[in-house]
Amino acid sequence: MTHEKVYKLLKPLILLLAIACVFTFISLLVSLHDDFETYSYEEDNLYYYLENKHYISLCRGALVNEAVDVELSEDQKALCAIGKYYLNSFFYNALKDTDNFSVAPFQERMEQSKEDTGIYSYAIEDIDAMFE
Amino acid sequence: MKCNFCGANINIKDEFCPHCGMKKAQFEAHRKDMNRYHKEFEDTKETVVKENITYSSLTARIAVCAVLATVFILLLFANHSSYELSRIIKIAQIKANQSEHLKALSDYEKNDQFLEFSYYFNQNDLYYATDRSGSAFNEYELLDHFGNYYASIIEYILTLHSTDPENSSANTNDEINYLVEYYEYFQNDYKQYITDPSDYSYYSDDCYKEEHLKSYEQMATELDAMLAYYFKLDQNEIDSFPDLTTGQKTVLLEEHMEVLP
Repeated sequence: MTHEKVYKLLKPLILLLAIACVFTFISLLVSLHDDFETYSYEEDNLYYYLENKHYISLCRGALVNEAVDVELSEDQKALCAIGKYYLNSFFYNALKDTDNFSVAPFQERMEQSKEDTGIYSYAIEDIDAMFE
Repeated sequence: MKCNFCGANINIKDEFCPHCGMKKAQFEAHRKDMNRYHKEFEDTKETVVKENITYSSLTARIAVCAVLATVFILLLFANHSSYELSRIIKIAQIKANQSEHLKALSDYEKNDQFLEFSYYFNQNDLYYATDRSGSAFNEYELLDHFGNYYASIIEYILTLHSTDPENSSANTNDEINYLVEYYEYFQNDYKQYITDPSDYSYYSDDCYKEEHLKSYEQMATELDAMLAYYFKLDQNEIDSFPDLTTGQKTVLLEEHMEVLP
C-alpha cells in the first residue's frame, strides 16, 4: 500500500475516532451526572399526593427531602410537614397504649409539623380521622 | 583555464577570449552542463520537498490517530469503571462533610428516628464510606442494615393500612408476603448478629456499642408493637409470631387484614 493510500485512509479513520471519542465522553458525563444527581420531590408531585390523599408518598417525599441537601420552597416545606405529621401520627397511635415506649417525642413532632403545614393544614383533620 | 587559440588565461564564464577574441569552445558544453545540473538540483529539491511534505502530513495524521485511539481507550476504560470513579468522588465528598453526616446520624439514633436514619444514610450514599477500615461510619453499618429492613416493614404496614385509592386489595397479598419476608430477614439477622453472634462478625466492634445495641432492640420492639396495633394481634399472637413458619405468619396477617376497616 502506497503512502498516499494510507494517507487517504487515515482521514475517515480520524473522523470515526473523533466521533467515537465524543460519544464515549458524553456517555461518561451522563453516567456520572446520574450518579451525582440529587433526587428530591418537587412541589408539584407533593401537591398531587396531597390532593389525591397519597399520604405514604407524601411521607416518603418528606423523608427524602429532609435527607438530601436541597433548598426547599415554603410550599414544599408545608407539604413535607403534612407527610411528617402523617408519619408521626402512625407511630404515635401504634405506640401510645404500650408500656415500652415514650410517645412524647412523636407528639412533639406532630405539633411541630402541624404548625408548619401552613395553607395545607386542612389535611390534618383528614389524617386524624384515618387514625381514629 | 586557457584559451585554445592564444593560450591566455580566461575565465570559465567568458563566452569569448578577451585576448584573441575567439569564441570559447568549452563554453557551450559548460553551459549545457550547468543548466543540466541546475535542473537536476531543482528537480531533486522539488522531490525532496514534496516527499517531505507528504511524510510530514502522514506522520501528523498517524499521530492524531494514535492520540485519538488512546483517548478513546481511556474513555472506554473510564466508562467501564464509572462506578469506581463515582465511588472515589463520593467517598471524598462524604469525607468532606463527615462531621455533619455523623451528627445527623447520631441525632436520629438518639431520638429513635430509625426511618429518618435509614433515609438519610441511603439518600446520602453513606454506605460508600463504610467499607474503609477505620471509617467513622463503620459503627452505623449494622444500624443501617437493620434500618433498611425496618424501613421496608414500616412502609408495608403503612401501605396496607392506607386508604390510598391506588392501593387496591389485589396487591394486599403480595404486600403481606413482602412484609413477612422482611420481618423474617430482620429476625434472622437479629439472631445472627445480636442474640447469637458467631465468633466472626462481618461488622466492626463499634457496631456493638451500648447505644447501638439499645437501638437494635428498640427497632425490634417497635416492629412488634406496630404489627400488634395495625393488625389487631393480641398479646399471645404477637409473642408467638416470631416462632411461626412463613406460611403461618402470612395466613395470620391475612386473616387479620380482613377484619381491619
